[in-house]
Amino acid sequence: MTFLLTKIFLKSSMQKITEQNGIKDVRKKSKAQITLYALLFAYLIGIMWFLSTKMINVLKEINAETVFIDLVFMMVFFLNILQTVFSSINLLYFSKDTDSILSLPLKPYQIILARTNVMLILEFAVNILIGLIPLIIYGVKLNCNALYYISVIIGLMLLPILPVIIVSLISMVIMSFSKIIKNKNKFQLFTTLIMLVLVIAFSIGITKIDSETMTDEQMAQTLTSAGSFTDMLKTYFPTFGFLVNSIHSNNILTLILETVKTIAVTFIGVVIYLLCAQKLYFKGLIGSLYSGEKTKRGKVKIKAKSKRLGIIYVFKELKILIRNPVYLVQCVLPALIFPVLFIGLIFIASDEELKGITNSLALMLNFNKPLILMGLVAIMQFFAMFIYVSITAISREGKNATFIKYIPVPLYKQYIYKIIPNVLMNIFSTLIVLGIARYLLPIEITDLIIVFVISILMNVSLSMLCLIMDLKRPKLQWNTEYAVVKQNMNLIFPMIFGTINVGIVIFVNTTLKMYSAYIQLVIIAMIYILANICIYIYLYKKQYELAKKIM
Amino acid sequence: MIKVDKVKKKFIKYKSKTEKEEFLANSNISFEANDGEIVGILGPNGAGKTTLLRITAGILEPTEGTVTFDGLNYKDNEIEIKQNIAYLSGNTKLYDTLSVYELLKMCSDIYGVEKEKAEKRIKELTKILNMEGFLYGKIANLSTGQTQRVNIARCLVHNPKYYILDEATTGLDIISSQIILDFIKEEKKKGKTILYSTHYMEEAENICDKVIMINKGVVIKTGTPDEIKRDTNTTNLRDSFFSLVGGVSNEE
Repeated sequence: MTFLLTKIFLKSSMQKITEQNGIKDVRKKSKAQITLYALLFAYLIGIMWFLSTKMINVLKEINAETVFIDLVFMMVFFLNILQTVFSSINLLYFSKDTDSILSLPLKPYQIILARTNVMLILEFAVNILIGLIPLIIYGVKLNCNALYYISVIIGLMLLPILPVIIVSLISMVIMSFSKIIKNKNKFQLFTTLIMLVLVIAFSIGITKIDSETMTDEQMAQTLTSAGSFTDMLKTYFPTFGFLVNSIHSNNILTLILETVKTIAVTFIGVVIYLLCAQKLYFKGLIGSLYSGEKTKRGKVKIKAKSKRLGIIYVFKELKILIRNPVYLVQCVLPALIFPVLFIGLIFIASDEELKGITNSLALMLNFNKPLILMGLVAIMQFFAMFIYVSITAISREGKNATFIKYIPVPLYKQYIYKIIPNVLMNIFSTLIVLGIARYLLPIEITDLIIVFVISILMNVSLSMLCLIMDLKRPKLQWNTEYAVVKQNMNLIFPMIFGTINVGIVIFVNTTLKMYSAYIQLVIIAMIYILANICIYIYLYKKQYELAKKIM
Repeated sequence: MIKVDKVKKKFIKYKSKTEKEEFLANSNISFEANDGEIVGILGPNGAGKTTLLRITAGILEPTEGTVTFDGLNYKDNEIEIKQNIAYLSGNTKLYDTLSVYELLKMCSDIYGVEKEKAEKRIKELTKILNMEGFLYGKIANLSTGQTQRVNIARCLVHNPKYYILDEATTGLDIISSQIILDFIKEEKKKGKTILYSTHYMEEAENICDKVIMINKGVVIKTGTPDEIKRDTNTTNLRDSFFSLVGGVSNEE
């Protein structure tokens, strides 16, 4: 029954079958589309190969190549936590099928397990994409045997279980107080923010706790070694340690032993989770079902200024993004959270280490300015990959997307208005990154301005391309906003385009390394000005054709 | 005047992953709707009413045929036509995180209505459509009837000339339906051209000056309700429809 329920929940959350005009829409991909996806996937693997190889080689030089496994596992682990923070409340409490599920003759644990399974399946998908590929590259580079691959697969499968149940349990504790909350939307936003703060505080807390028990030297050692950081994680998440150890050992007996230990700890965790969840989940769930926002009469101040259409439109887009908790958390906050986490990582470093980093970067700035400036551009492109405003601009409208077709505003203008919020989000994150750069390095303001302009040029093209992809593959038939911003395959496109941008930066920097930083930056600027003009012309000329799927 | 001339709309229907076939949602549909006239588009579910109205509203492009508004077509005067259209589709919650007032204000801004005129119009529509009780409430929290009244208000906030209303009363209680129907009748008196699709035959009989009956994408009868009843020798439009389709409606 739990398996069947999982299947139903997964299907309903994925919403693969859409019905349009009473016709079952069987998605049929053309050969060109399949080729395009294959090429993009190959490109993604290429970039991963490039980065992983570089990292492995660097680590190999100091005989610490195994640290790469720790790094990948750590990254996957934190991604699992972050993803569950975002998904747990929505999946557990705000799924549209909640009230109909409650009326069915199901046992409480079956519902809880099925919901948790859906979260886990989503995490497995992340682990395969983000974790498995670099680890396979590692295996190929170091000629690892079959046992390595088996332990990697087991590790990636078992790793997310504990984080998922812990985060879910925290969300259940928070939601069990939902009776006092009248405003469902604001509450949804509030709890997600609290969860996010908890996770950030927790990760910083681990470091702080250790800083109190260790000497400065030990602390420096711990922070400079990613392997030592694994030790910290082992204390709080024992399964993490078991799984990493099993890969490192490359021994069948150790693998079996560590896997059994992981399963045992996970099993105890799941049992505790189920016991607590049965008490907490339904209490909060029933609270959330009957906590609809009360209609209130308030006075709205009328602004005297006459606004231009563009401003009105963009303002409307921003208002909807900010007011809807799901869109706010998934589309807007990443633009601020990732750079803030970036700041956090810098500020948890000790003074000496910070000084060390700053000095070496300043030295590099003198000898290889292009590398530093291009590095900054690349970092900002990395953050741009997590902003989902443009890629969901059409899909967010859902069944009401036809609105854009019957209002008296040319479609191409609306397309431009719809990408502006994405560019604005990029500007925020760019400013944060540049602020950090200015704090750490003696970079001239002119250089920062040039880097800023180039980043924005790159982001404009990324935003326009994402919008085109959303227009070509809109997800308009959905019951919950969550389906648009999470269970939407289109979300891979910002990553692809961002990676392409990073690739272009690396390519220009590598091939033109004999030229000055400014020449390299000007060339990138020219490429993107040209690209933006071309994409704009495409949007203008194909404005009607692009909107064909909106009907 | 709205003139629909030999409009045809072809869709591709996928029977399986590999098998597809073309089908006509609308086939050679022609009619005219004059100023101050309510033209009812009648037919069962799946008859092609929504497709026809979407083509008329400029959302879909016809495969063949043209739609003109006082002689203007979409190809050359798209923005001008859209500026004068009110299009209402089903019962959906547009931008449900906004309050009713915010939505109406936003729509009047998009349609370029001057601030004072917009305020006056919002006040007027609020009164006519009985929305005083929830004007500042969030759309997400409205009932079906309230949502539909808000939808009508946001379509009409710019005081358009042509109304294209797709199943405006479907799923509503009799009080909400009556408010909307009375409102449509009043607008007709102001000389507006109204296309009104419904599958409620009795409703059409009450408010429409002219009726276009559609079944399986084809016009099966056009005329005033009285003419149709007379020609089919029936006493109401429901019986007329059954008489025209041979007793069974829209078999798939």
